[in-house]
Amino acid sequence: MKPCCSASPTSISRREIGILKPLQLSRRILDSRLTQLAARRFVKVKLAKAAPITCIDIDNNEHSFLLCGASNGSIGLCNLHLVDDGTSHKWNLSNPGFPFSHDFMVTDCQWYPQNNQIGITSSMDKTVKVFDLPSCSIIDTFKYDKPPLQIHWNELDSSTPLIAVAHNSSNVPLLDLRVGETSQHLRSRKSSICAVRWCPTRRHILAMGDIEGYVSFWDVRSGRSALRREKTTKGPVGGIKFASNGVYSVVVAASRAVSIRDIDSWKKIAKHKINMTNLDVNRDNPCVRFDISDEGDSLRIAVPCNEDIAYLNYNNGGFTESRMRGHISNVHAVRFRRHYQQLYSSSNDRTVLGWTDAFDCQQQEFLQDQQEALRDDWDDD
Amino acid sequence: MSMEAPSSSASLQSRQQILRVATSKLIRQTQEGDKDEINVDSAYLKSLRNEIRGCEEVIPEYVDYLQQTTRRSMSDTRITLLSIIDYFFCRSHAFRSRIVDDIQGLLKLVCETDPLHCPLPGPTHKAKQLKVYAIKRIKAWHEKFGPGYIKLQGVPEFLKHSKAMDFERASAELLAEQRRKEEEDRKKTEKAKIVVASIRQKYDSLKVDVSRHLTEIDTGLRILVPSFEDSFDQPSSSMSAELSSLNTSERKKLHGYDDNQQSISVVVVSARPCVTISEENEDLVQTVRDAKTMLDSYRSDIQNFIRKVTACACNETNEFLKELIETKRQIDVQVEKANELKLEQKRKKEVKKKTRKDSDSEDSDLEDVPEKELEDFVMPEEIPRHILNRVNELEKEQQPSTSREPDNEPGPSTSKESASRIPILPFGLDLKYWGEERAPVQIPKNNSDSHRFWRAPDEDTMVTHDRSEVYETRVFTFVGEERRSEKKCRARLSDGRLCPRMDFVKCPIHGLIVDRDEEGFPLKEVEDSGEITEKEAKAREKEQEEYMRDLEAATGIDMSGKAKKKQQKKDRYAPTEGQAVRQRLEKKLLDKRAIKRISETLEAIRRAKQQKKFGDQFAHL
Repeated sequence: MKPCCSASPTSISRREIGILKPLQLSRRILDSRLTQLAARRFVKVKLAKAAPITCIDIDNNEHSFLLCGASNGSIGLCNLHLVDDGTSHKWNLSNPGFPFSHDFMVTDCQWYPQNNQIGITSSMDKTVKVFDLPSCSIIDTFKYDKPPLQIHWNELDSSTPLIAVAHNSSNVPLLDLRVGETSQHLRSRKSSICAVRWCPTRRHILAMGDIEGYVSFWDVRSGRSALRREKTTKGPVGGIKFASNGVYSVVVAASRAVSIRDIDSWKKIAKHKINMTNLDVNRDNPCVRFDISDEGDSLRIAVPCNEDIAYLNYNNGGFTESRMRGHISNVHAVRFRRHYQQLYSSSNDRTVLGWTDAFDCQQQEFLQDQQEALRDDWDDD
Repeated sequence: MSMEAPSSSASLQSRQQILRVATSKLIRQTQEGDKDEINVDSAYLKSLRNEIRGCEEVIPEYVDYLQQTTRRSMSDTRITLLSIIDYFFCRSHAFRSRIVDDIQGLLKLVCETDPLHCPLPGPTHKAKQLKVYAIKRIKAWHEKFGPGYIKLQGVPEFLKHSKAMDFERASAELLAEQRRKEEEDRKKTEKAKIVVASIRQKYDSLKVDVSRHLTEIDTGLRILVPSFEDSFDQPSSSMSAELSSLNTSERKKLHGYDDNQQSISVVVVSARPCVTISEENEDLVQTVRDAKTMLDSYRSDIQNFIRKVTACACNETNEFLKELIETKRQIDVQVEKANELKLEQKRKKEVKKKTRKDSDSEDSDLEDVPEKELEDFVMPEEIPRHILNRVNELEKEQQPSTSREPDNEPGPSTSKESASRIPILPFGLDLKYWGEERAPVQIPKNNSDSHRFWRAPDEDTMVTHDRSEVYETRVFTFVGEERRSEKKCRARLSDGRLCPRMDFVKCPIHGLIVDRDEEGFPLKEVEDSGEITEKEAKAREKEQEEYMRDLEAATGIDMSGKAKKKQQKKDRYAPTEGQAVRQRLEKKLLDKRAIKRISETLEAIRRAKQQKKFGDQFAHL
């Protein structure tokens, strides 16, 4: 008999008896779904011209709109609901693609955390653009002296959500769209900032990672310097992510060293070094577009690692690493799709792959084809 | 347990060793055979296959080994290695997963996806071949195993966007090649069908004769050399059963010789049957001989057919080919039999000679009559020469030959009919004065009705001359029936109607009138009107010449010599060498401007001289 869901039958029976609490069961189910992620489908993203996709983002509200930035400056959008239905190709045909684009590679993109109508993109053409989806137009363009590498829109603050822009300088401008320009500058005076992240629990706290491996915390309300500055990684900081409960953060260095830290004490909880051949740290753009998922019992970290995705599972104080192979060329960005236990990855091979649990893809003919393809055939005839 | 692990790893290692050795031997064998791809029946490949099938654990390391070897080797070896990879890729899932996991590495080595860091090694033509082969294989892999391996699904897309290679063009070329091949095959089959159909038709017409002659020769040979095999065959089975029951000594006794006799010599004069030709069997022999001759010629025909049919061999021709070969074999057998007999021709020749002599002597009574030659034709002077030539030619063409039957000549009755058709003219002035030269008759003018003041000033004008044409020419109207064409052009016009013009041969607009269907399309394919046969061209030329001669005779101007005359005229005025020099100098010296200039100079000199000599004298001022 085929399993009707990916959770083990024992947990269901334990739940029925009452040993397992409802939340525990749901966490187990989520956990088991996240454990066996495998590349299942291609996501067709309509771009003005096929190009390596450098960054992706999924919206916070419906968790189903994939925003993509490509290396040729074009921006793409994809409805993941249609990908789930298997009708994405039909939708894609009529989708004309985004009418606007950057001049050069898109370095980062993000949806407005409160709704799906506005998004921001940053590019190597030294601009950050804010677009409005209903009118399909650019609302505002901000120019900088250096190309912005990472941007982050405050997810918590709904009244004056600021956008922090890291453009590899000691100065971090904070954009306020209500004002229509940079409202504040954070000057570290120490070294170039290459990673920024707003704290998910405290709206005024901004974490910044610099090229020397330090992570500093700033209170944007005060005009003072950093609250704290801690040496976190050996090389440049590739990226900072916070768990949704705001208890711990994950910092990935450009050298693919992963460390989990407690936010309050900034104590190292765990660390792991991902083995990576041909590691070439680019100090001009050391960003690692990784993602974490804290659904389920354990923490999952997906880190782009050449053609593979290193999939780390942190549970009970130990890391287990697995490699997800599906891309032919270097992976640029990965993103978890919350509530769906799916992972999306974009790569230099111009594709976006969706990684899901096997249970999501149980179409009969697909399985049949797959079984046919996976069978050994030693018969010479 | 501790003992088992090293032993299993040792066995794995030994297996790896075997695999490596077999692979290198397979590669060497393939290259020695001057091939690029492995032979599926090779013993080494079979051993490889057994090893891999037997123990899947060896696959990861073996795949790594293959990739390393590919990285190290030249393009021609890479093709061989890729064919090995392809062989196992199509068979084992474990092998496939391992290859697909690092397919980008393989693509780099065989498809040159990274030409900057990892270009394909030489030789260049092999590198190209490798690329094409790799694309072919990868396409096949994608089609067959794509659903199972997500990474493999992305490969065509990846290659399509790769700048280092033109995947789309390559795949299009492959497709085009495939189509071309199919088309070629189809054409070949069609051609073969046509050829076979025509040969079959020819063969069918021969078949009856061949079978008749085969029966003839067979029957004839049976009569000439009766075969006793049939009569021997029947008792042989019972006899052999009896004989087998006897032992050797008894058998010997049965044949009438003793054990003491060691050997028996039997003298066979000739193994070949000999036929003595006599008056009784002469006709029969002749028939056999004739049939043999005929069959010989048929055999060469059939051999020809077989050659043609084998040249365009396809599945449909097999049956026919079998039939042809069977017929040929039968003919061979019969002809061989007939040859063995060596039926001599001498006698026949003698007979022939004899008969010929007899016939000669009989025919000698008749005398040879020399062919009566035509009397020399006396050329009448009045008739122009070219007309005579033409007449002569026509006569030559229509010279009496033996094949002409007298019935064809027009009889007296027909001459009468034709005579009635000759138009008869009434007697007129032209006939009355035939051959006479007559001056025009003067006709006095009648001025009686004119006023005297208006009279012409000269008295001569009182008389006019009669028109001389009256005596020389005759004009008569043709009153026969007009020739009318029933043929309509019926060419299709642009508005859908058919051309209603009627003419004999050619429509002035649509050209030659041909038979057309209701829609106005020609029933038969129109031959290229541009081509005129040699004969026609000659006839036309001749006609033209004759027309020109007639024209010349009528006008008295030499038409043909015009160009020549001009040429001559030009030649006549061409200056000789001395004249040319003279002309050239004249042109320079007697130039008006030159004369003017020089005369001015001379005048100035003269004046200067005069001034010098006589300037002081009053008289010369």
